[in-house]
Amino acid sequence: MSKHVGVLRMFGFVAVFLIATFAVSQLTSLAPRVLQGAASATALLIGLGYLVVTVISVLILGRMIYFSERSAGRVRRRVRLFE
Amino acid sequence: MESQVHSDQSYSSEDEIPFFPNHLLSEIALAFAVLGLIVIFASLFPVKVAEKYDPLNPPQILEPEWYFMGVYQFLKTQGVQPVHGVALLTVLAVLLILVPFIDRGNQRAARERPLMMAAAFVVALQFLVLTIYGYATPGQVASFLDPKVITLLVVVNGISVAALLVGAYRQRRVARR
Repeated sequence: MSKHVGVLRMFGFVAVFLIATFAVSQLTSLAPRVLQGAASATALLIGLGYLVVTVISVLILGRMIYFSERSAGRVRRRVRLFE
Repeated sequence: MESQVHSDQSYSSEDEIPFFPNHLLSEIALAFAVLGLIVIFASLFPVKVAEKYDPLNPPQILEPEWYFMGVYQFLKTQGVQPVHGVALLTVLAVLLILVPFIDRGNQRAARERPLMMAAAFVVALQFLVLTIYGYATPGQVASFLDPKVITLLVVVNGISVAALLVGAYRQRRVARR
């Protein structure tokens, strides 16, 4: 792996991390309204979108960390989804 | 590197574990353990609601919560601008996020990663000292010309540099093994 790819991967990781953080913050601000039943259908749809973004970005973060750990030789049990 | 190649060769698909339920359940168990610790600490040391803010009678000294006290003390130093505090926190947060990419050693145990442990110790020490200094000098602006501040800087940064040097030396010894 060249040095440039490594730096790009780090930038990508930080970008996905920021996206995940933003999506989680939007979800947590929406959650009380949903739990009280005060959220509109549009808000629910937007919340669903943020939920999808959260799940996908967290999985991408997990895979990136997993690959970094694996290439360094620190993974003991390999996870089928990330292989 | 050699051990990595060896582990790749000796690896078979039977060694893999499924993400669900094996991996996910272990992660959930860890998350609940952390949540349990937070609940225990919150029960043992409950935070009381502070006095209601009265704009006609504002408090003489405004202080942040304990977790921001270190940064606040850094900002209270003469000549330091708010943008420096924001930049410092951003750089530290980005470095913390990128630890798996920066630390490339193949060891998992803390004693086999002395340089990273020394770096973590230095960050924790700097924040601890700044936090204690912040609580010790409420409402006072620190100055780099103050002999006490200079002494504190020399002692803390001396310990930090020594810890990093010891960490780097031990890291070389670990790498040679």
